[in-house]
Amino acid sequence: MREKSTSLNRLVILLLLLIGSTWSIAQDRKTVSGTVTDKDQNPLPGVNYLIKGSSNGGATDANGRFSISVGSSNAVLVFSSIGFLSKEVEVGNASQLSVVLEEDNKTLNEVVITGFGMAQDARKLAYSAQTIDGGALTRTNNPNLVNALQGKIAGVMINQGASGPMSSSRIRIRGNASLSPNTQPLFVVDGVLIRPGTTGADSWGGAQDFGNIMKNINPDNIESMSVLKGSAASSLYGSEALNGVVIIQTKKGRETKGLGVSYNHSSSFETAYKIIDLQNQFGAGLSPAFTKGTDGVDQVDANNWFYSYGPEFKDQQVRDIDGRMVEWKANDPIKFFNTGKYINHNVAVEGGNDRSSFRVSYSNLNNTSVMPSGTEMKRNNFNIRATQKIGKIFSLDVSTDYTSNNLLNPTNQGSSYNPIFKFVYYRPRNLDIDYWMSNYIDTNVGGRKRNANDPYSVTDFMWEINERKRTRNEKVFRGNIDLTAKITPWLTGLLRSNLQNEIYTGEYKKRGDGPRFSGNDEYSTYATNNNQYRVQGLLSATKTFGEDFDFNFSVGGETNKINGGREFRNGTSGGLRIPEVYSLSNTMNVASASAPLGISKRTDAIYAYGDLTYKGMLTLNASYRRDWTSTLTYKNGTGDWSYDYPSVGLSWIATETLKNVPTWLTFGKLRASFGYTGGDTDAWSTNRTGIYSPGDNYTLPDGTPLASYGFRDRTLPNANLKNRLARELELGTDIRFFNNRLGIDFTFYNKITTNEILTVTVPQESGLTGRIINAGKIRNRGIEVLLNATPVKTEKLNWTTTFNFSRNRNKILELTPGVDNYELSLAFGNDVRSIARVGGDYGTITTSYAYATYQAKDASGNNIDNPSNGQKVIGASSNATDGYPTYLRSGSYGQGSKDLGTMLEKFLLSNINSVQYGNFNFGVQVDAKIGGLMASGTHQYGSSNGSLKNSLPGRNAALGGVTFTDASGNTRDDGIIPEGVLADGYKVSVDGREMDLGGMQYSEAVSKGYLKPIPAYAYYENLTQWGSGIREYSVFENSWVSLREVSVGYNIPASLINKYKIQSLRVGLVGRNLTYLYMTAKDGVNPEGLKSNNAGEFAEYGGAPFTRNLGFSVNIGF
Amino acid sequence: MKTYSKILFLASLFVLGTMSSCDKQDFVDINVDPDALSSIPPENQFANASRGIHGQDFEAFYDFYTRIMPWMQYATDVRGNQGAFTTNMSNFSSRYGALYSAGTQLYDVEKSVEKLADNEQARFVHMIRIARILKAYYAFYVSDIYGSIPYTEAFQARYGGTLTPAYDSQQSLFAKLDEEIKEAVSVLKQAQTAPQVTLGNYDSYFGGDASKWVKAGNALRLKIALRQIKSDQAKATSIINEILAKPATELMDSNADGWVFTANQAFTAGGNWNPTSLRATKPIVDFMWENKDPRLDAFVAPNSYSQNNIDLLIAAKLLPAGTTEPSRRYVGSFTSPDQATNPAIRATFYSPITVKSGDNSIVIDTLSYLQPRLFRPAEADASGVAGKGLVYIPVITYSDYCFMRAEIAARGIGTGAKEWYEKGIVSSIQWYDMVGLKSMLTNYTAVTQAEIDAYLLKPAVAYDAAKALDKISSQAYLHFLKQPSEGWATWKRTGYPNPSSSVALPVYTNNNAVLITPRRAPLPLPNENDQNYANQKAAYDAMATQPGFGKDPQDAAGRVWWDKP
Repeated sequence: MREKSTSLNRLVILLLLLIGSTWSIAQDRKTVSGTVTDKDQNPLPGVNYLIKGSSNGGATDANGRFSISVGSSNAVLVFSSIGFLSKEVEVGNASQLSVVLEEDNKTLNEVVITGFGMAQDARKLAYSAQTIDGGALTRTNNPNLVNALQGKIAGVMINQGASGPMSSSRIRIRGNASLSPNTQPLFVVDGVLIRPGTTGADSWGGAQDFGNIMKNINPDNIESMSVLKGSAASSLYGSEALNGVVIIQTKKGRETKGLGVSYNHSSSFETAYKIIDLQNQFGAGLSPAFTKGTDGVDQVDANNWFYSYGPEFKDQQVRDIDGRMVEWKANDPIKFFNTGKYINHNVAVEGGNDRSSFRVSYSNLNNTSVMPSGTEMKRNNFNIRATQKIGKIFSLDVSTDYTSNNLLNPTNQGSSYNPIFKFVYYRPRNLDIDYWMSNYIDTNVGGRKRNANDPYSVTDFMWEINERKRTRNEKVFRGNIDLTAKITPWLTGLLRSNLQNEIYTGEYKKRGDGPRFSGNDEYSTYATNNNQYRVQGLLSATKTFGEDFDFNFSVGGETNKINGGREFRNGTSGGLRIPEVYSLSNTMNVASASAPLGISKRTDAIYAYGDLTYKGMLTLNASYRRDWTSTLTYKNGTGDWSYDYPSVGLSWIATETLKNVPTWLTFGKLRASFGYTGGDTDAWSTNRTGIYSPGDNYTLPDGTPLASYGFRDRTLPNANLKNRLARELELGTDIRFFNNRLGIDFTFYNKITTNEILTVTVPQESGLTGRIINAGKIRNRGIEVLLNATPVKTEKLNWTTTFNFSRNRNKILELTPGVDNYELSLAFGNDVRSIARVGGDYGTITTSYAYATYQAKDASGNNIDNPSNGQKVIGASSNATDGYPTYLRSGSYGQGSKDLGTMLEKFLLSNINSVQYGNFNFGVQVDAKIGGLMASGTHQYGSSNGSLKNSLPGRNAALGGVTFTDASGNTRDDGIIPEGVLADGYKVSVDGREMDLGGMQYSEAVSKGYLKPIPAYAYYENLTQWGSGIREYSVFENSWVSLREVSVGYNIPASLINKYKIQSLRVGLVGRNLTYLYMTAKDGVNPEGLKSNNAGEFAEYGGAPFTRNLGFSVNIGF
Repeated sequence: MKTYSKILFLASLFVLGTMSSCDKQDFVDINVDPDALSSIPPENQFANASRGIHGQDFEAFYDFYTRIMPWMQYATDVRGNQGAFTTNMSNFSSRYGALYSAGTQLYDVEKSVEKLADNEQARFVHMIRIARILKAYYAFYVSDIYGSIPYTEAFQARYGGTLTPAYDSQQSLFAKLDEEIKEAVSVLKQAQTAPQVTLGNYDSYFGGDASKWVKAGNALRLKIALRQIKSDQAKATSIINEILAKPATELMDSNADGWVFTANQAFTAGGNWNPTSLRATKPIVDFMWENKDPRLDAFVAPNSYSQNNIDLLIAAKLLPAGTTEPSRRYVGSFTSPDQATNPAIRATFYSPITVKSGDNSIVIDTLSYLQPRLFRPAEADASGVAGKGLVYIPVITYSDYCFMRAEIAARGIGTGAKEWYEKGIVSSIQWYDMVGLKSMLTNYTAVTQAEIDAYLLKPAVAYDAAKALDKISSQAYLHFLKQPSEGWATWKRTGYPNPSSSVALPVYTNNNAVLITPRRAPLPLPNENDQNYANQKAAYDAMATQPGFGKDPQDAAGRVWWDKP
């Protein structure tokens, strides 16, 4: 131990030299250690201790032990733990302390990490902040800690990505404070600012998402996460905290007897259990009978193979289009998917004494998904954190974290390379997925089978998932050094410097799918290197004035810089000379090369904050920050680049003031805060709007390239951009009853963001399509309710239950004169849009591909009453299959776009239960999202050719089809009489006389013999296909209640394991995403699986199958 | 020592503090994108504009393939025209948006030159004029189906101009364009003091040859004049007479003078250009077959009844043994939905047969498609080899010019109707022959002079002064296969072809009701929240007072100013 401690000292000294400072190491401090117990002498683990007036402290270990170095004998240690009275102990001359905490049900002394990672007494907070501990994250067996937050915190909404373990999830706190595509909060890991980016597909849905940086943060090292939701809480982090802040504290070494070694393992298995509702009754074709071959054998209809309106499945033998005899049955796409594995090993070694501590951890994760394309993430993470006290004044806290992450083939989030989309759109139900999965290669000439040998047109898909490899490696290094100095007993200084370096490299190997495996082949590679650093200085003073006043005040500053590196991209051009040799020199034409520079940005700031507490009951908080940002400067040196914003808050513990409170009221606190947060814009945007940039080479007729330059954009720059500003009022109460058996925390907030920096549209005739403005006013108003209860609390059995409820209304109050909406996101190409409309909700879904509704008009065009008004309009659409009438789109009927509602949910509700029974504990989490629209490309296009169950009604007489005689004189029983009225101007000729059926019910036109029923295949195809479909049909409410997590854990009694030198052993079973208890998504569409994590995203385009995870974990402490 | 460390620590904090109160220039420097250029050589914008104008794949798909070609019976859907195919206008017309993109690029040529030193500016006099001719053409092309559009005040917001440009009425726009082209042509003819920077490779029409642009400009003036011959005859006549008086060196004289955008096959390789579902139509195929039109194999691909395929059908017992390849393998698709959906016709023409050839299935089809490589030279041939021929997108070909001259003469202005008519036919045949070879059409054989001579003598082709407009318009219609918009305009302007003209286009019906052919773009409905609402509303109100405008802006059956009954 001694030996190690010395090396640690050396390391620390080396690090000090690295940051360019040297000083003598004073050795006149003393160490106090001891044990904290309850009144029955049971050791209390996890008790927070703190040197009064500083941020130095820690938490007791499993045996209730602590150890801390104090500056002087005058030092006072403060011990606090939930459910116990906090206790202040003067150190005096003692070096060993036995501290007994009294159980207390009157007041609460929780410590919350706020501000710049400082522990703050929760009592003093004037705003709501929720914390979850690391165990709750690792238990979820999810590589992305964002997903683990789901349902745990009121007001936080998570959407999981659809590309596999690496995929980005979307996190939104208290609605969308801006119209920017990224409204995710800032993450702060050990002082390093981490910005989750947006990734995913565009409005056509096809992209492989390698995800944002969040996947590189290892949950194993996380001690706790605090979510700061409001402006008052987040304003200290400045411009980037406009959408909230999540502060992540990593684990520190604890004092242990000898080395503390722990090993944690979890294995979890993900299985697909469902996709969109398919019909399993009918196979390829349009006719209920098979065609016969010349030999009289039943064969699949080769002309109409992509329809599933053919013969009924009866397991009979038929000849498939490629000549094989097959059993006539529906496929089961679920079988296509694999079992995804999540296998994580973590070893941590920790130790410490009164002056130093360290923790070293290594994690290895191997995470595959259900996709057979080899989707995989392999993550290795090293983490070291060390603290050291240097003399009486200084203490160091050093942490480094290194992650290397190998990623392979994320699933395509949508479109024709997404398995679900592929199997339901234009593929009949009899498609033999298994067969084609292993028989797509043309073994005669090489490449993939084509044309007649690929009768179901699936080999391209199989090729993509089996033969094309996209790999990516991400290396992220993060280091932080905190140097704290106790300058005087009341004055502490902190010098924090950190950096993060990101290296991303990747390759794409595209195997040729033509003869001899050539043609369409490619090799490309890229590498990029970005880094960022932050240096912060902070002086904090703590003073007590007389008996009644506690005063804390801090002043500081920081500089913060992102350095964008060049992204070097090289690729073959025109294919590979020698097939299957993936090398740049093997390029057919001159290899392509580019090296765009990534953006750089610098933000400096100074700030001051503090609080004043009167008699421990009334606390006044205030903060002030001024930012300087590079993003608001202009090339010519102008620019309003700095801005200030304050916050103020008040917290009143009423139960401390009021003396005659009834005994059942244990604790009552009221809080109010009002704060501003400023915001800047995207780096470089002030200096590149409205000018020129190089374009792709143009190919001249003789094939030679011609360099090409043009406008960078069609946007009018704005030479006077100012910062945006959010202001937020938050009111809340924290009331606890019956000795803390029941607690309610209620928050109301009203956040208004003004002066957004937006590109709004201008009339294109001006020569531009947009201009940058500084305008707008967005309101997010809502409530959050957190309810804690302990319904059962006995010696052996303890049941706690927590409800998180939140409701947010996101409204656009103003944009700029002449602009009434702003486009957020698109779906189905650009058929359906999510927009922010003045006076309306954020994320209003609007489309001109909605159902047209009938409105009768008189001869002069005025609206008149008519019983048909408001009904769906049926008419002729030029793209309709076989010319059958179909529902008209609102846009084609002169009605323009229709609003369908908002994508944002009405409310979120979750319930977390934890039951402790002896050495067992059980957990159940259910969460719910109610309201909010979603658009599904799978639903729309999957409905076109009869794959889905929704296309069964009307297919034949048994399924409700109307019998009629068609134009060819054939009697058929698959007639559908659509509900709705005929379009004005819909003419037929009756007895040689033209007759306008406008406004007539379709059923009436049928009964009068003017029109015939529509065959089912045409009815469904025209309703949903690309050229004539009604997108409104596939936009629906997406509410759900998910059984998110069920877990069982067992702590094996020490008596059983101690003889093996094992101190603790815990085994657990956990199930995640087990099932949806309730869902409204139409026809079994997966409610998750959005194609990107943009703020305005509301659509899936294939997405992922429903999957559930089952796993176990073992935690061993030596 | 202790004090020293404290001072050092406070000093570091102070240093950090001063760093924060920072030098602004450091911030400015990192906020600049090194790839953002403040100026570019002006010829780039000319090239960008021309590619923007001709590279409209949505226009190819929605306007040409899906709309104008079926309306004008140049093509049908694979199964023949279906339903009320003339009524749905979803996604019609991307040319309007393209104008304001390309127009701004062309205007930027001038603005970029203005930023140069005076002596440099003198070298771009021609380039600016050429850019103006192209801009005038495209404004005309857009107004042609929109009527009033912003032009005089448009394109300028980038340079401090208005964000809400007023609309020019079509009549005033046509006059303004005529003046602009006239000025451009006169400057292009003048010798310049400074040597001119040529567009060279950036000009995909004429390689920067100013003398060709003079001819193109004059041809364009003639075209705009002829459009308004019914609405403003005096103005049209005066412009036409002015052009006719020009020396021969300033007028088009051969296919080499034709104003045609030429590009590599990659230019139209995108999926929206895919023409493989365009059926050739019965009216055109029948006319060309019966009159042995030498362009037939350039326009239309033969159906699948080759002897090879017939042998497969015989082997599959679907044809009697001994069947031989039919003499006529050019069969057109039905243009009227009531015919195309007729059960007997469907059974005969729209029911392809699939047969096996070894491992492969082959679809044997009775009907012909349009030559795919005429529209997309990159199209793969039967053996899957991608095409490598050139893309030709005509603006005003020499034949177009000839047919204009013929029509002008037939209308009694100028002379030589018959000669111009015949020059028009011959140059058209020769032009498509050139395209047939250079776009590498499949199943194509080069034209011989004998074929041309024979064709001119066919009664349906030979000039007939009594039916001058019918003959000229019918032949112009055929020539405009690759410019369906011009074919449509010819029909609107002259009423030919019609059910009884030389090239006869039958009436199309659906449910026995006659379908009305659209005549203009459906105009977007004014929205009070739009920033340019006042100007748009004023322009629409003015247009609505013109007879035949239609029941509302969206009514595509309505007419623009020049389109008089």
